[in-house]
Amino acid sequence: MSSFKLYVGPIHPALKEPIGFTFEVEGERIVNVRLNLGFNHRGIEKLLEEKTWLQGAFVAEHICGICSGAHHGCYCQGVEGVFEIEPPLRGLFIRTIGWELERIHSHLLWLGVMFHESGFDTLFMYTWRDRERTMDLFEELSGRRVVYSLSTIGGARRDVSENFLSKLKRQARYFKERAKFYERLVLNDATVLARFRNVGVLRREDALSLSAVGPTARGSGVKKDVRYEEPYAIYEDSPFKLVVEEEGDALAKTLVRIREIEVSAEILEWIADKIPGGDIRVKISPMAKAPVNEVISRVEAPRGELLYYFNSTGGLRPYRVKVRTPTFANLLPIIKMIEGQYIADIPVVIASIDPCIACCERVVLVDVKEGKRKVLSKRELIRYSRKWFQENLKELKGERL
Amino acid sequence: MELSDIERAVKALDPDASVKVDKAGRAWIKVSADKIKEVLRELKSKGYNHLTAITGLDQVKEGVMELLYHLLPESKELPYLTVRASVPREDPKIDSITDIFPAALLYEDEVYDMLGVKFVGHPDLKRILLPEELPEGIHPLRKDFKGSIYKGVSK
Repeated sequence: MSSFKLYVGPIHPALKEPIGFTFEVEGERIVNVRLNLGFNHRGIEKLLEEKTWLQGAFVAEHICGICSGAHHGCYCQGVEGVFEIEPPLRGLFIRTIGWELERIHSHLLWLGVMFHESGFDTLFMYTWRDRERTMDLFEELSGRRVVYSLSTIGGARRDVSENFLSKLKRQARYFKERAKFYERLVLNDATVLARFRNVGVLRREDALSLSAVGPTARGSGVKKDVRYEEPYAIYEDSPFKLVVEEEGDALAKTLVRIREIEVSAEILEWIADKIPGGDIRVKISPMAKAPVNEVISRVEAPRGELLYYFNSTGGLRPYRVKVRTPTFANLLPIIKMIEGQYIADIPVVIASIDPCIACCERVVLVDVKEGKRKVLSKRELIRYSRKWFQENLKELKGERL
Repeated sequence: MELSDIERAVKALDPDASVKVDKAGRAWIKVSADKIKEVLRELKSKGYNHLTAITGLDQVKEGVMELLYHLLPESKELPYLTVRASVPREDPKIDSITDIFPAALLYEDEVYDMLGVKFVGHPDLKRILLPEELPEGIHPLRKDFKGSIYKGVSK
């Protein structure tokens, strides 16, 4: 059978990470995929070398719009290591409110995207309505709904009020309820099962050998979570539970994220009860000179392990800052996940790693044999996959339902 | 398995290797560049089965290009480990570790793209983030890179 080449990407640069995929397809089945990166390379590592330590925090924050808190916190945590200062406990608690609230926000956003990709827009509305509550909390906490600059070198930037904490506790309870609702729904709904079960399976060996991180790895039974391996900030004492699913398909990854919402809500409730008094930060001059040092900072971002490496030769600016984002680690596993899948499953499989590329804008179909090219928009691809599933659902009964 | 076992295993392969532990409890091992493959294979068999990242570090003063391999252990007893090796800055070349850690495929591409380190044995070394049509020898994270850097609006 002659093979086709199907180009997916490079998508919408303003919102999430743009990326290109060239799928080699035989009929409806995908045989191979090639990655095409670099559409939105902004040279942030070089830029960070030009900025002072404090300015860098705000640059790092803008690496990602969704997990900005994780980047900001990870950067500040690393620079605290370089300067060898200990932030006060209350500051770490406030920072963790940001991290966990962000995880709930990111997972709810992702759930909505995932349901949307599979043609279940009602649920998309549900999850995004719940996500709105996290945004409101962020607005009250920091004054901004996205990119909230909660941390700073030496602690947190803003204090929280008692009023906010009681509100946080109430909302955490709500998120827990909703997570239970989504879990029940995902496990019982025929539409969701048809599109998620046994789709894009990442086997445990592949997840290990390709060094997958975050919910992508945990959905394949790999116990990887920075909060579990190297409890940073206040996670040692918090009621954190590691969530692992064994199956490795899109359904397992969905369940991992839904259960993580529950765990995060529990941590938030605990924080609201246990937050100590005292200072929120150690003051450090914005023009402070760092000692010669070398530090690694790791944080569990919503998508997985986030690593910052700092090299300081002493002075106002870092000598080198290296950032490894979780999506970069989860790109290779896509190749394993997509092999042997249907074209109609592309949106769900790619979305299942939560790649920040949920808005691919164009798809190019290339017929290699005849040299024909066909360009489809993302909307057309989704429409195509919905139609294909309506027509072929009966044949899939044994496989998915 | 403890860090001392790891240290012994690495020193058996490379007698000049040196180990240090930083304040956060993370370990750093310095090995010579021609032993990097054997050392990483040994470390993988000892439980360091996850490669988090490869950092390239341009040490202009020493005239070397340093490569840092960040490794995550399987068990919680072992510390987070960084293996470092230096190659000459003028002709940076090192063995590719893609056959030991397939995850290194993208990371090695990235280091080549940004710093121009050539990984011998990499199946398809190419520019991954910067435009492919960029001329050879342009690697922006090198400290001697003279490119246009935005300095803000002049007043």
